[in-house]
Amino acid sequence: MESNKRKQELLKEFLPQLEKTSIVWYAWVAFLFAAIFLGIYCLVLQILKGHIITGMRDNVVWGVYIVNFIFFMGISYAGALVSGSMHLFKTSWRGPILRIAELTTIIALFIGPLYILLCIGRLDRLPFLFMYPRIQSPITWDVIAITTDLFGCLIYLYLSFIRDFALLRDSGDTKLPKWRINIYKVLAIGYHDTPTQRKRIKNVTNIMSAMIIAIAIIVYSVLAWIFSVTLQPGWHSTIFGPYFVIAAVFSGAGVIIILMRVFRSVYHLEKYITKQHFVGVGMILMILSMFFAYFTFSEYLTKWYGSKKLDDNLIQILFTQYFWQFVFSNYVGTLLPIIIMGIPRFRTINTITFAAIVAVLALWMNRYLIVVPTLETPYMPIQDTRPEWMLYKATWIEWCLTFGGVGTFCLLFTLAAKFVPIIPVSEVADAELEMSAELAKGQDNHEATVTNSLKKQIVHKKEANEL
Amino acid sequence: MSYKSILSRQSLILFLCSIMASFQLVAQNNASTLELKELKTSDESRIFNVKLTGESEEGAMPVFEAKIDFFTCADGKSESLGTATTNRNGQATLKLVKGTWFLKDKEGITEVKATFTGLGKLSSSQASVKFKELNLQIALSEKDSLNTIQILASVIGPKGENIPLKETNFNLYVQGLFTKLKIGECFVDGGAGTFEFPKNIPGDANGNLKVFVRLEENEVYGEVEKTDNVKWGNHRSGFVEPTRSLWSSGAPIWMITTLIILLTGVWSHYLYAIIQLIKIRKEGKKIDKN
Amino acid sequence: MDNSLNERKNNRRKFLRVSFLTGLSAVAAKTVFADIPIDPEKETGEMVTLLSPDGQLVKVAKEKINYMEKYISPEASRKGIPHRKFVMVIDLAKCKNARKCVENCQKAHHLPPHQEFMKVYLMQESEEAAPYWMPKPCFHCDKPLCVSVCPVGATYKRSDGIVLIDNERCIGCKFCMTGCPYSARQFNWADSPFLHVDQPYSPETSVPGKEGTVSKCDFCPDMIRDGKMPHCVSACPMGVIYFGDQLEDIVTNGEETIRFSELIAARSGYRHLEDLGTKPSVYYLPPVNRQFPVDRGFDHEDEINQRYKDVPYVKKMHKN
Repeated sequence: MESNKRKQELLKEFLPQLEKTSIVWYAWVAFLFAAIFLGIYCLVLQILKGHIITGMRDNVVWGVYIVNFIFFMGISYAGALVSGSMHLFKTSWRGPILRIAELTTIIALFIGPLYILLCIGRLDRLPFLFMYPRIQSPITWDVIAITTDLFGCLIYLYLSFIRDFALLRDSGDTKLPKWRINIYKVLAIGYHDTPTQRKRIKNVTNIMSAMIIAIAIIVYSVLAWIFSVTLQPGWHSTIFGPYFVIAAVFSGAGVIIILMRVFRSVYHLEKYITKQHFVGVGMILMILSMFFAYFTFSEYLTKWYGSKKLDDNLIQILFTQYFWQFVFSNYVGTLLPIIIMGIPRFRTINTITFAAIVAVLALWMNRYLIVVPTLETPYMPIQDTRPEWMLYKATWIEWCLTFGGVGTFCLLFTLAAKFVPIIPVSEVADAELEMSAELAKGQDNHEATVTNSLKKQIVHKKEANEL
Repeated sequence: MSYKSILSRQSLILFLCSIMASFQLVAQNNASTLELKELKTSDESRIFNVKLTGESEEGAMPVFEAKIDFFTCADGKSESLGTATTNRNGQATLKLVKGTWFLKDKEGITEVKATFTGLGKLSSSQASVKFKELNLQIALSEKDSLNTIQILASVIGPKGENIPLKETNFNLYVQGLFTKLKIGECFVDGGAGTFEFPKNIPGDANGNLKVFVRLEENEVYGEVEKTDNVKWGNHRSGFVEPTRSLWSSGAPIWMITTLIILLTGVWSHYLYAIIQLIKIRKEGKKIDKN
Repeated sequence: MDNSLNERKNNRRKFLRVSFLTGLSAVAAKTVFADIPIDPEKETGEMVTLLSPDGQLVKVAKEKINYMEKYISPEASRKGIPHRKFVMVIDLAKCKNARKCVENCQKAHHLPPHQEFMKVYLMQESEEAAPYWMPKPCFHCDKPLCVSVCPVGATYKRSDGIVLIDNERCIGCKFCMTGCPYSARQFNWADSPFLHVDQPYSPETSVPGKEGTVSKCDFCPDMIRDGKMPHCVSACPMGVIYFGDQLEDIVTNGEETIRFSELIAARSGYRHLEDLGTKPSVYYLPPVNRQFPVDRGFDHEDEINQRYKDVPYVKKMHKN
């Protein structure tokens, strides 16, 4: 029962986040709603006037929308991979950032597919995807994969929430309205932290975390195959599957760092999300940026070294018309995280966040450079006089819908953080307990090796509690 | 009614027409052109095709709904064969079945005239073709694994005797989807000629072919044609739509099995997770009751 | 023919058994004789100018085509014309970019000026290579990637080799457009008057088009069923385009009828980008022994000539 006490204590600490809403919070939500409504307005315009109001034309048939689709799906899979593997490999410091990763997964997974819908000319015929499916089409694979992934992530997320729902239900004297308590009660499905229930949850969570990793890899490869099964010179590549997976985790790790930084300041979580967490995820970011750089290099080196005319055209256009974008996305975006993380002196919370922001933007640009220049250099030369038919330029409609999507992401995150503690209380409390048990066991010979601040903190806190 | 009375009536009408036409001469400053083609078909009927074009402010255009009169003429006599009306392409066709009577001169030559009587701004125009009766017969046979077409052609002499056709080239065709394909020429002398039919013509799905033997643009006999159907083609099987391929409606088996294996693998785990959740709920209910 | 007109004639001249054809069927003939409105102001439909027998230019309503008579429903259009495999041969030696194929195709398919199912490219493989005009329809590939990637089966390969699009099924995802390596497909980006044609939709005519769906060259199966050649074939003044059935091994450009295999063998026919393995149904005859200098193809307004400004040959021409 010691753990329960500690959990309630922790919960008390986070409850104000769920109970109180400041004016700033309302202003922020209002701002997000404005962005979303602008997006909805643009969507209505697009439906009424047709795709002619976007920058997409017969050569560049997909533009910023599909870039956003890849981007958000990438973030989602990254969240799944990071949280899944942290759970599976029992990373000691995972506790405080696990929920951020899980929420990233599910929220991005809701937004990503919306962008593929924006590419579709006749939204009224969406049911056809289920009425007349052709399983030879990578889009059908994607429909199946995303649905499967969505279900898996929802189950996984729910599993990690149950214990906190139970805590919220049992918290007693909260200022939370009755209806919210009732929702928590329903969602907690009678979890009382009995040994059997606890064992079951642990067991299922382990299975699901392994599952999530596998699905994330398959699903993101499927997304890559949408491009690589075509004969387009910039897309028809065998390494696209792993390349996309790596790019996804890279960008996702970046987004998690940014969110960690945001919640750390807004919710004053300095005690929980420490520099150690930033360095930890930052290391993942660095390793992935190395992998990503390796894949990118390998992809473009072979195209550049070979003499195929169309590959050459693509490389030409990338190094002339898209030179700065190319430099930013593939040099700055990969080198900056490596430099900042590689040299210990540069590692601060703010520099790591900066590296993460640059990496995320660079990754978005990388996807743009995969999609657009390829479509601008087709097999048949583009012989047209209308510039908008030859080169793609996103219109304000597309940008507004892009920001609308980012706004929806932020809004859903804001609301989710209002509904459940952003720090998984049960998880953190359990981790503390395990840690202290371990500590007690080997206090004499392990003391010297206990260096990380979290452990120190826990010991300190425990002592304080005992007093 | 005797032939003569009809004849005189015809010539009277013609005469009147020409007078009327001469009255209108001043207004008729737009020229018209008439083209006439003749063909003796396989069933020995004769087809006369005309095309009428007229000058207008917008250049030469086909004239529609114009009446074209056809006459058979010989030795200064002329007799009506009928009338046809042009369609929107300015074309009209007159088909005269086997046994239709034509005027002939001493040498057995018939002339057929088509006339357009000028009206309003359009001037009159006419065209004519001359031909002599030719009897054309073909026989298709398979000898010593050779497919041959025998052509027999003769002319009826002044005393009604059969005179074999001399030194004339016939063209051979097979019918295609849109047009006829020329497969060769056959030289006929002494009233007969043989043509070895090529073996590699596909024909339709059953190997059926429609063969045309044609005398074309002949100064004496005009155009004469004989057709026959024969199963000499070596048709290859059609394009078979693969039943299970990337581009067919049915998917390849490996794709379906892979998908099923993957999905059962994943969803069975989901199911397990959901069952566990239900069990947790049951246990919870028990606790709540206590 | 046993209509009353003929009967009267036969009665008058019994010695002549006159069979009377106007080149039109009896039904059509009736409409021509009875239904032509002389007063054009009352008619709101499409009009055509014709020359009457008295030399007057008259406007009459366009002949009403009974579409329902020959209507092939989207479902029926999924089956090909039996025992046929259509093939096209384009003789590059004869093409001078007259653009008649493009214009007639656009007219027949109700396409706006910039949308072309048939496009004419100025090709030049390298700086030193000879430029040539290349008309390019849809290749109706035997391994069509566009069909493979379609998630809803809106585009399909028929037994006669034709690849069609059912725009009542198409969801407009444009995946087929990225799948096609020949840029054959176009998207209807906006609603336009060209998409409103009073005619029942059939994938075989591709008319009327629909906003938010993909369209492309369809090899005019409606014309083929009528025994006529596709519009681009019959429109070409140079006889550049041959069309026919590969199974009966006959292709024609309207004037000349040749055996497909002999034509390909004699003139070294090839398929564009053969190494992609898509197996197109369109063959090209190389531009050797040309009938026209390439410059003859620039006899167009600037808007069209401007298209070719990036071709090395044109760049060089502008320099000099």
